[in-house]
Amino acid sequence: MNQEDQHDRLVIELPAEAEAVGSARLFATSVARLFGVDDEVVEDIRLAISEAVTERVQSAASEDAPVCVSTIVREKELVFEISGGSRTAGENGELGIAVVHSLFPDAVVEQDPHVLRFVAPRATAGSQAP
Amino acid sequence: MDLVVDSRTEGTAAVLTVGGEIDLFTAPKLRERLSGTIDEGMDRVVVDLEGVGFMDSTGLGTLVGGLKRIKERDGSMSLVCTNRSVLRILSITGLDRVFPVYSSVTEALSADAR
Repeated sequence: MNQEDQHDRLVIELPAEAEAVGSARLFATSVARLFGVDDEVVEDIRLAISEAVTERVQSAASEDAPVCVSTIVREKELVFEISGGSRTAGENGELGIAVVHSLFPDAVVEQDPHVLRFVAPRATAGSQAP
Repeated sequence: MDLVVDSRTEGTAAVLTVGGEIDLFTAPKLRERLSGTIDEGMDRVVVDLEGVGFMDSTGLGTLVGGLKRIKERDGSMSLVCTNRSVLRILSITGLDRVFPVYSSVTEALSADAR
């Protein structure tokens, strides 16, 4: 982890159970709005987080393995990382992950431990460098 | 977070009115109500999603499960939806070509009756 990540990372850790999906959405959309993400992109983040956290919750063998959503705040973008649950991909999560990729084509999935990462731009209006 | 599902009969069709957010936590409630409606013998079902502020692929899976069952006996199932975020997931997954989608229950019922 680099220094920037240590200082600008917001994290929520949730029990790997179905109710966590809504909490994760609330966290991610609140962070996105706080850091000036356009409304349309906030909607995409909401859906992507719901899909990714659902996949993690379903992958978990027990409720002991928490699901983690973290946001790295950068000047022009937010990096979302969804991890936890089991160490590898869960079964039946293909459609959800495909939805994430259609919303954020550059989304990356790392295995063992399983981490899904996607990057969302912060608002374009007023953010252009002079 | 809760999901509200009300059902009523309009002529020969069942109308399920859904409100809230549909995800891993709430989808079982929708599945139960949808299955109950189909088990009652209703083979024309309109699912009104106008009160749904959010739905992900878990919710879609529930709707597709209902559609499969109802198609087995040559029934029909349509959706009512104008919410942009719900229409988006239907479009991303291509299910807007599988489900007839209408902008009002009245429109869905009259189309269904043709």
